[in-house]
Amino acid sequence: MRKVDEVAAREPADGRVGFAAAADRALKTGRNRLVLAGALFALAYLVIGVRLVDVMLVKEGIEPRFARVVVGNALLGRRDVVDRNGVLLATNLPTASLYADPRKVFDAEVAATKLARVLPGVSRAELLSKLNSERGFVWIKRNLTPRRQVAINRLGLPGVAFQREERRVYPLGALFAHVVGFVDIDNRGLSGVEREFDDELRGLLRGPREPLRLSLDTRFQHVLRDELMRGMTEFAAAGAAGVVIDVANGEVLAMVSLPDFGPNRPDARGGTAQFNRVTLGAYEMGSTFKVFTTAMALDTGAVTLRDGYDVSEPIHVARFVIRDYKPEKGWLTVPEIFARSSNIGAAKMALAVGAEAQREFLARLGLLRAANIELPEVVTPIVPLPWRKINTMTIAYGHGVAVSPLQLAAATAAVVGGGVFQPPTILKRAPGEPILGWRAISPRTSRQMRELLRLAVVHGTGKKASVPGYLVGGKTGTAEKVGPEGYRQKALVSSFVAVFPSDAPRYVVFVMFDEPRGNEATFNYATGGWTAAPVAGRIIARLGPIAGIAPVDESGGEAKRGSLVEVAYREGLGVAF
Amino acid sequence: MSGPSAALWAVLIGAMAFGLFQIKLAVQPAEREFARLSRELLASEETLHVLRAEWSYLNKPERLAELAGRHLALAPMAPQQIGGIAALPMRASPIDAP
Repeated sequence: MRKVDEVAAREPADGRVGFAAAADRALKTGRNRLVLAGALFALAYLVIGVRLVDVMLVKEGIEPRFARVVVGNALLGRRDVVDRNGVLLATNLPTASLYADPRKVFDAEVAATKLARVLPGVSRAELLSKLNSERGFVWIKRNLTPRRQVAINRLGLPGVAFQREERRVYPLGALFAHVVGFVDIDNRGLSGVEREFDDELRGLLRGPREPLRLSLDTRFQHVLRDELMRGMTEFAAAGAAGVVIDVANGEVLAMVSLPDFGPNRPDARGGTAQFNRVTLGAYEMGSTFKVFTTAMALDTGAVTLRDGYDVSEPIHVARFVIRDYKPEKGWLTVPEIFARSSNIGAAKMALAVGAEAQREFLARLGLLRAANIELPEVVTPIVPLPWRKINTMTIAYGHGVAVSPLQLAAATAAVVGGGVFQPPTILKRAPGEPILGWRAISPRTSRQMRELLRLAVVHGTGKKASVPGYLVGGKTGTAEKVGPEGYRQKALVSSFVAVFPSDAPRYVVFVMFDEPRGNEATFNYATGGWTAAPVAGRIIARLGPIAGIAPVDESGGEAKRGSLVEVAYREGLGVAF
Repeated sequence: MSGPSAALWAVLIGAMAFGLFQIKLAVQPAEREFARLSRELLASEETLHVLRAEWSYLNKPERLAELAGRHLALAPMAPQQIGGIAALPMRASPIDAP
């Protein structure tokens, strides 16, 4: 009341006027507040309106594309593997796996009897123990065929159901068994490319979900495998290995190890069939190593093509004797030593170069360290330690150092392909991709080596590898395998390394047989010249037309470009195979 | 707020409600169609995938070689069978113009 009194005191005596003024002011305040509140509400509505337009009309595309999300989730986890031309080598197929919830199974006895009748390979007792278990989930059978799935559905059993799964399949079967490898039941890579690129294939790493493209060619692979299998039967060999390398960039075009296995049903226990001889096997290669010995001797200038050595006397070093398979009399030139495959000559050439230079040279050709290839199965070469004089001499003709066939082929590709060593790869190189390589020998030595290799096929131990129409160069190799009591004369590793066309090399083909036996057609010889060389020739005869290499007239002038070495090669001497 | 303005608002509200109803009616079947097409796409992609695997399986070189050997009178090409135009001999006698 005091307030009213004050107002009244200030106003004139007529109280009515004072009250009217006060009411007027209150009304004004009220209206102001109303306008303010109204403005706020209007603003809120405006914001909502603008946002509505924004969401419905402007930002239409922000909503996730339903279809794409679904496709990305559902389609088939592990990436495909394809060859260089896009032929499918490994993919996934959707399958159904049968599982049971034992707590929901009505009558385990009946269910087990019925299931055992439909599922072959699963015994009733096994099913019964699974269906009687206390757990809430047991696998009964993984990866059923559609027909089995229908049959089980028809049984109408409660408590059993299907889980959609993916199964890795290899449509080409055993053809790429060792290279591509295989996976376990949960689609994790166990060997080969599947293991090496497991993370990439499972999509754990970011990047486009494109198939993994290998450098291998299905056609080359088939030819190589087909001919190796024929050869293996022909010579009753325990095993075989073959590899084809592109000289230009080190791409592996075919890689076969026999015996092989079906990757769709691999034996989980492993076994010799799963052993990749091409990358995991270390073999003393025998005379094919003379390619490197001769290249080294020529490149370091220790000898020229016109030099020669007396090879009539076996060399006695410590308790060893180095002798030739087929002894020659007198003096042989370097081309003759190479073409006739003289161990004595090769040993003398290596001695002229020296042990240290030899080791350094072989290291440059990647022969002393494990091959740098994208496979988990890689062997470390067996190298002598210390590297004595006797080792220098035996390594000259391929005894004392054990390398994998892949390493030998890659080193040969370096020797004939201009002298630059390129690490082999099983991934397709992009065109124009820079290749990490290093010079091993000079281009001039490389050319001389091509001519020497050609000479060995025309006149020397590799005659059986010649293919009418193609200039094939190559070197034979025969090594005795090491047994518990030293070298075994009857157990051989016979090999042949070929280059074609020898005037402008495109491919290096390496063929190796493990413990081949001679037959009537080979006069019981099981050496490289009689076993591996003809097989290499047959492979080249089939690969040439596939690769689109035009044949040449061998007797014509073009083919006689080997004249440089022909000069130092005398006809009429006995030829050893 | 009376007379014409109230009538205007009433009409507007009615129109909006009708429009919204119409849109919802049109969207519902479109969404069903969309889901159906997505499912179909998925199934087709899976079929394609399976067929590609089958194609690769049926084109196994071993199998093709066996089939070719059984049904075709063809053999792998030998290097001698390839030739160039330049290798052809010239015609012995000039061509008689017709």
